[in-house]
Amino acid sequence: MQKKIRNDRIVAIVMFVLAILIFVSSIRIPNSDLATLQMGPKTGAFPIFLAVLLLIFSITLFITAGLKGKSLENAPEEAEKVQNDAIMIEESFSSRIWRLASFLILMCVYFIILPYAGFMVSTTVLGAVFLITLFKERVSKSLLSAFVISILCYLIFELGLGIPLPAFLQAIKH
Amino acid sequence: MEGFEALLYGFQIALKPINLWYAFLGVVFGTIIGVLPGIGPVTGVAILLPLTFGKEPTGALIMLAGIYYGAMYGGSTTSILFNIPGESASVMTAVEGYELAKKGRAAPALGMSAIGSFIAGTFGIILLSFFAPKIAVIALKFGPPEYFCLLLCAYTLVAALSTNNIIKGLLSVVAGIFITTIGMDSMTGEARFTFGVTGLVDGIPFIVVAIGLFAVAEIIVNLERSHPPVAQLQSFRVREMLPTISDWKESIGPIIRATGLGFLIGVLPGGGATITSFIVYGMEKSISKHPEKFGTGVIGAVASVESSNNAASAGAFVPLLTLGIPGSGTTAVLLAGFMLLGISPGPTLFTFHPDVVWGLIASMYIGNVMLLVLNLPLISLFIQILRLPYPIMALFIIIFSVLGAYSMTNDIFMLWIALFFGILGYIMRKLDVPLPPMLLGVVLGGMTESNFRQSLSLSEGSWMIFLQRPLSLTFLIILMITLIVQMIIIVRHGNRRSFESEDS
Repeated sequence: MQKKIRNDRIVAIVMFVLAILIFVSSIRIPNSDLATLQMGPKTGAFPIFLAVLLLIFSITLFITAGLKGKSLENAPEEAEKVQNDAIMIEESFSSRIWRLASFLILMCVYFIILPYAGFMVSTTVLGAVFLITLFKERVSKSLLSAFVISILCYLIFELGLGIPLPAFLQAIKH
Repeated sequence: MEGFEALLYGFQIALKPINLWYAFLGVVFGTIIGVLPGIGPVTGVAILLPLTFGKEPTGALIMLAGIYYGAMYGGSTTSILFNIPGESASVMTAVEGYELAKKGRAAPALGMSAIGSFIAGTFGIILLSFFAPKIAVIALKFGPPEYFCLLLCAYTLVAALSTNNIIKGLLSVVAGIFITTIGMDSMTGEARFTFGVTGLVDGIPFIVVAIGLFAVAEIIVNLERSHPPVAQLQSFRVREMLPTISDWKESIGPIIRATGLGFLIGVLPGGGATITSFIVYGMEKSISKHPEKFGTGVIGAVASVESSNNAASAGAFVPLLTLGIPGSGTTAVLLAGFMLLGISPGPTLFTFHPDVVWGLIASMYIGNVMLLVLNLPLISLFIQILRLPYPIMALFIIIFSVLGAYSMTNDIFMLWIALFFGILGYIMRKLDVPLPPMLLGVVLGGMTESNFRQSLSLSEGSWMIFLQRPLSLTFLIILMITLIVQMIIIVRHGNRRSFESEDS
């Protein structure tokens, strides 16, 4: 219950801050010549309306933190069995942090090298690293799997859908 | 053009070989996605959306609808065989279906699930064909104030019905609407909330948000768990899957009740397949002569839950096609698909694009038949997908999702945006903030703002326009009643009392 209240209050505070930021940014939006010719609300009016709604809702959430209404979304009690019998096992806290951080770093590196190394090279290499570091797969199996997935995605997107994927050294050429 | 004549016209379009092929592709891809555990219909439809690019609109929409239906079917398979719901709407199927599987009755459970889904889906589509044109005629009378208030009402209903805290749901919606204000204002040309970042000037495409919030966030959440290989896979013969006479006697009543109730709930914004399955299960248990048997493997319960899912899926198309208002995350993605194809769902769809809408409705009949034909003999083949180790599946999904986000603008910057929304989606799940309302806000935010501004332009800035028009006032009254009722429920029946007793 403490955790629910804390979580609700974190959400309320974040949304409150977001509302203030939106409000301040909105009143600073300049009105162009086109906007001054218009009747009705100006450019920043709708975001201000949203900011007011966020303010009201975030304050309400802060006050009612931890409370939960009866919801049709609440599953019948028999559904607990499904969760208890679930075969996915939660990792330890340190393992989770390591896996999440590794994933985020890998994705960042992938996006950085993608325009330079091209889709096939970067996906094969980073895909293999993904499998090795996060799932402890064998190097050969990881490279092969990543390569096959790259080929499959290339066939679907580049050849099947006609969507050009980043080519090798594309960023340097352009 | 109305009624039977319109439907016949629709069949002429849907039965074209190319459209039959798209329907087939859609249901196959959708079923595969539905079978994959953890990838629900929202994620599945979002990441498969790029497959529809470059096709003519009718065919692309037929494929999208097939994906939607297929994903609903596929989710029940893993529920029954492995107690792993493919998506939240299949949780109650897992409860009863897995117990049947443990008793050696997996095959008839799968069979009844497919047949019940087919019957309910077919009747749901008949009801859709009947009701949708009538609602479209009424909706033609809506102006910007009516639409704006209807949208606010829809947001409130979605937040009330599909979340356990309406305030969090509304916060999620408003945050989603805010995302649509990022970029250049289409009416005045002013840049809003771009903070000098060139990549944000054109705004953030919906599909990037959807892929980030659902696909990427799902992968991140699953990284916190290990995934042992699934149990030994069985194969079935079609004959084994056909229900017995006793199964039929147990199931026909639940199928009929679930179809009617499922369709009605599906029509409501927020009344998605998940809620429908819980309500229908609870109803069947309460009227059953043997409620104590529920939870031990009741085939009638499997039939009712799966029937309700498909009836609700058909019902969800009513507000989507007639008003352009999706009632769930999945139909929100479908709406985005419509828009990407240059089709604006709403009352004028029936007038200006009868070929599209009736072709789509007719293809849903055909897709329903295809799913029954596919699911019975090919189920053993579909579940072989589960032989794939989770790491390979995860890598494929993440790469496919990344490319889906890239395909929108061919801009690497959008991948960073998708990753941002993936992290945001992960944090939202940890803090128990619902995601589908945010998706709804992103899809409908543009329409909400344009109706807001047009309304205030009509009234020369007076907000009274929303109160002076009867329909918009009606929607506002429904909104206020929903809010007030929900807040009373939260304050009176919330968990604060149990917290106080724990403390003392």
